[in-house]
Amino acid sequence: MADYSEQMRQLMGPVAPPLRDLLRGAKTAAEVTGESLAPASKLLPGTLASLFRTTLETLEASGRSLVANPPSAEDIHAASRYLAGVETIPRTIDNFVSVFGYGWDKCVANERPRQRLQFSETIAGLKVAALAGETGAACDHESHAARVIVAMGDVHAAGRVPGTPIMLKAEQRLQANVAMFAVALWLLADRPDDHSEEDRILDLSRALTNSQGSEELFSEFADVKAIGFELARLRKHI
Amino acid sequence: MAGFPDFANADRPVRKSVQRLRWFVDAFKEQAARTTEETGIEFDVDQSLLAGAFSSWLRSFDAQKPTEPGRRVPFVGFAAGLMLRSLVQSDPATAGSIPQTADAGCPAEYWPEGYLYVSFCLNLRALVLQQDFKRELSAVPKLGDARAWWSFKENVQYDPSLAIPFLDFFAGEKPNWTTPGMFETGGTARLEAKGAG
Repeated sequence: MADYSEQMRQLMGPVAPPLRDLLRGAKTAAEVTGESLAPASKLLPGTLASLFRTTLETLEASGRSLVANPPSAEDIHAASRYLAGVETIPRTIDNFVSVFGYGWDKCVANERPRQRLQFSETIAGLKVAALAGETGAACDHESHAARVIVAMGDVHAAGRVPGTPIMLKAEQRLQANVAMFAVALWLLADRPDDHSEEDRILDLSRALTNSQGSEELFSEFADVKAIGFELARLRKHI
Repeated sequence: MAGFPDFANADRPVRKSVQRLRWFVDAFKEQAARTTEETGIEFDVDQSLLAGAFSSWLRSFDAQKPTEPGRRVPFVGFAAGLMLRSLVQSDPATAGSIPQTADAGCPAEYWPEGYLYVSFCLNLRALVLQQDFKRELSAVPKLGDARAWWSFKENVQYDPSLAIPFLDFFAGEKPNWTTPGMFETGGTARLEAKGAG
């Protein structure tokens, strides 16, 4: 199969959030389709089965490149500064949501395709843009981060069908909020000296969040003060 | 017992470093590698379970951490015991097969995971005392008593808090068997007196 990673690397820079959302959706759809139709595809004639597999693999590879190509150190740093409220307007909204989306994809990568929730950079970006224009009271880094992720949660930036509250069970909502918190924790943590360590810090942030067992906090995900407090408590331990 | 990873030149005290998950995971994995070198037993470490052990330890640590500077040294041994309790409960390591060359009756053969956890906690305890508090360790670790290991494994399954006095025992200090989960000025307190003198 052709290696699409370099093409995707070049494409991902200027590509707008809606296209990345489409690629994410296409990847999941391809995985779900492949999983569902795997037994049936064995019944197809050789050429048709091969074409079926190649099509799905191409879609998957396109979406996978979103996860495979990590943001630059500069992009992560800028997203981190925005989330912490050091800069009230993200360098570009596209940068912040793409870094956040990368973290999201990593956090949910091990979920089965059918269970995996999607993050929409488009919807998140619209909300972030609205927040950036607000002149709220000055607050600490973690409270600002809590405000941003709760706001993204309010507009259902992550879900089965992002942007809508439909078709999300309680445990899926919990999964979405835990992942949202883990990505925020990663961005607030001290940046590693070695950029290649970023994925590991993200993984540790996810593991630490998962081990908290704060079901009440994560299922409601509305108490900005409490979420900010938890972010402050945990960020120094990453 | 395999030595501890050489993280002693970090730019912050060991007792602060260990409260960071990235350091904790690195140190534990390095300890596992060194224990493999020593025993020939391979370990598979589950990072999620290790993070769970870390979280659990942190909660216990924060709940009992003394505020008085004079009680910091005595708390080191207790905090190491709390860590052993969390590791035993979360059990993040899984040992591979025991090599045929292993010494019959040695603790690593009897309970490889337990041996790894005890080694990690004893080494961490020693590193904090020596590097952060400049204390000389006069007590010799007692790791060769097969009956103690048998008792350790059985008892911590019944009451994980007994891991705390067992670590004191393995460290060659006086254990507090009566209220194992409560911090008291025993065990490592004697190091304070030696250091002050």
